[in-house]
Amino acid sequence: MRFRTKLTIAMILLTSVIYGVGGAALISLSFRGSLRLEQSQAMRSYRSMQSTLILVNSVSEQNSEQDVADILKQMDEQGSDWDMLGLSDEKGYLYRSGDVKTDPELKQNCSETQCAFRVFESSGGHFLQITGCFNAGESLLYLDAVRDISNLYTLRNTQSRIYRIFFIIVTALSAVISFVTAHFLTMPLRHLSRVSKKIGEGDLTLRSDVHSGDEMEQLSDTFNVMAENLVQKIQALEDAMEQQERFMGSFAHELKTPMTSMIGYADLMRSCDLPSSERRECAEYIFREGRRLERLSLKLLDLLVLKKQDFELTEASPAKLLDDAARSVDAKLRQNNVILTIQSQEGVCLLETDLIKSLLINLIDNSIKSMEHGGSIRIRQIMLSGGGCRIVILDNGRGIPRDELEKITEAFYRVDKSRSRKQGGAGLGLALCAEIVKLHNGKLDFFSEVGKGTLINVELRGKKE
Amino acid sequence: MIKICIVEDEEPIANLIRMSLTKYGYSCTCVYDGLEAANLLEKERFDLLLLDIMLPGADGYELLEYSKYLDIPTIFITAKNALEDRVKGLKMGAEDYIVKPFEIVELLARIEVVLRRFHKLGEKIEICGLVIDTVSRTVFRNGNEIPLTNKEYELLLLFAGNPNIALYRETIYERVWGGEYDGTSRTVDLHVQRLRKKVGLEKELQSIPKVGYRLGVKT
Repeated sequence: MRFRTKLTIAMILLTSVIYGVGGAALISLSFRGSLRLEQSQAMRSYRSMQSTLILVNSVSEQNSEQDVADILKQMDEQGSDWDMLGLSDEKGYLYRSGDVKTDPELKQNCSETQCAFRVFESSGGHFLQITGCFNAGESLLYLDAVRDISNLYTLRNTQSRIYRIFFIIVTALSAVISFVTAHFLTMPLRHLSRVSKKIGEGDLTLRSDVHSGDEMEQLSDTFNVMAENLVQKIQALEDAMEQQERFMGSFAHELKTPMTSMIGYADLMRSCDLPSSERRECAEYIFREGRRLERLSLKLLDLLVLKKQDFELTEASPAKLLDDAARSVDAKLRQNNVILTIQSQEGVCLLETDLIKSLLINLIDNSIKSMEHGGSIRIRQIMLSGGGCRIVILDNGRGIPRDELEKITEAFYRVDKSRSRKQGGAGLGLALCAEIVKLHNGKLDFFSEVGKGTLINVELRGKKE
Repeated sequence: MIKICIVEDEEPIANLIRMSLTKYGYSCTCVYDGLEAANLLEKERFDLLLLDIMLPGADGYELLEYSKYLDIPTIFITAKNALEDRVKGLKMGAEDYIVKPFEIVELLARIEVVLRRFHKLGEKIEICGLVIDTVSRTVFRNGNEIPLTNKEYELLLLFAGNPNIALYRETIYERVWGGEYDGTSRTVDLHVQRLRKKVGLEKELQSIPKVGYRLGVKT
């Protein structure tokens, strides 16, 4: 059942029950009050009549029952507020007006000090009968008095009837008002329901718009926050998937090419009778491509391991690591006519020494590769306040075109494929560097101009949060 | 002399193709750059173009269009086995495609098919006293037709196309029967024996122990 309907029914039920029960109770109480009032008033009147008769009897000399009956008759004819009267003794009625019937129970329950009464219904009307007894001479006399109280009942019935009509009107009215109120109260809910349905059908930009100033508005706001988060998560997942696909595509390609060579040359050697010079040429190619495959797989392994493992950072001096790295590449520097100058600052910070050395060697290596006829590399390292260090590497090599700058840390990406291959590169060096920097909660930025050179800014801040 | 132009930026692979094709008697020129290739195609006449799609300096597909414009049959080489890439190349007018890594024997077979389609190859192959008419698919010795089954014909064609090359059983099986060679099958040997007898090549069609067979032709 819809909430609006539930709300409406609840409100109608509430009003009708309260009104119905309240009204009925009121009428009932009012009636009973009136009845009691009538009863006590009747009792008083009866007692006064009874005491008059007793008094008359006691004063009379003859003490006869008939006398009492006569007095009663006189009182009755003069006008009493009783509709029926009856005076009786053991034998029968001495005086009787109207169709008084003696009730045996009343006779039993009454005594000289106490009278009994009952209410009975007869031929459409309601009557109050009071019975009392007293001694007149030797016999016990019973006095029955009956009063018509039908008007009380009639009044009550009229009240009930009128009330019933009002009840129906009130219920109908409350139904309408309840429905309208419920409708307005539940409007935000319907709006939210519509919005979530549309979002579910694919319109991810839709948001809920509720300004009711209460919990509904809160619900709407939190719903919007949730939708926003979901959309972002979906986007991130899609991006990650795309990146993954690109990586797999590149990786497959990088793998297939040396394999084609190796298989091809080996097939040539086994199928044909080749002159020894050609046989050596084939073997040469197989060897070179094999080595290339080896380098690729090692670098790839490094990259994957880096992504999965937790590395221990220790307090180390970046200046010292720079020195170590410089020494490692010394031979290559001399071979390529490259001059390396280092300006460093003393200090320690949290680093993974092997990885950082690897990082530095990689970056310096890249710089060397960018210079065909020698050049210079300047490295400056400073400590940072708040922990960590900054290393800046500047070379005057051939530079990187602006539109390629953001892609160079992608796995397998090369700016110039053929030259990179000639130099034996796999395209993974900078991807590795990026991972290493990430592990140190740092930044890796590149600035470059074609023909002028490249500047690499490395910031390392210690363990990843 | 059939002239083939090889456009492939991976030097080892370009060299491999050149070495293999030269053995078959084709004349080859290697180019490593798309722009260079376009210039070369314009200047020299080639009978066939082998084109790598991923090239520096030019889009392989663009070169494909250019070669089609020049009416040069092209087979493109691709490392991407994705359906879209293959379909795209074929739709753009390539005669055939081959996916890396490939075996030289397969490349040669595809080259042969394309060349034959363009009537650049002789319709008749004369080898070891036999005349093979590739159009009618009949074989003659001394003017007398030798009836061969379909498989026997294909087998003979394979050997004729690869003179002095040791053909491994797997290769023979894959090329003639298709599918993967199950190491224990004797199909190849049975057919080769029958073929030898029928066409009279018992001497020339030699068995190489543990390897396969080889059609020895005096050059």
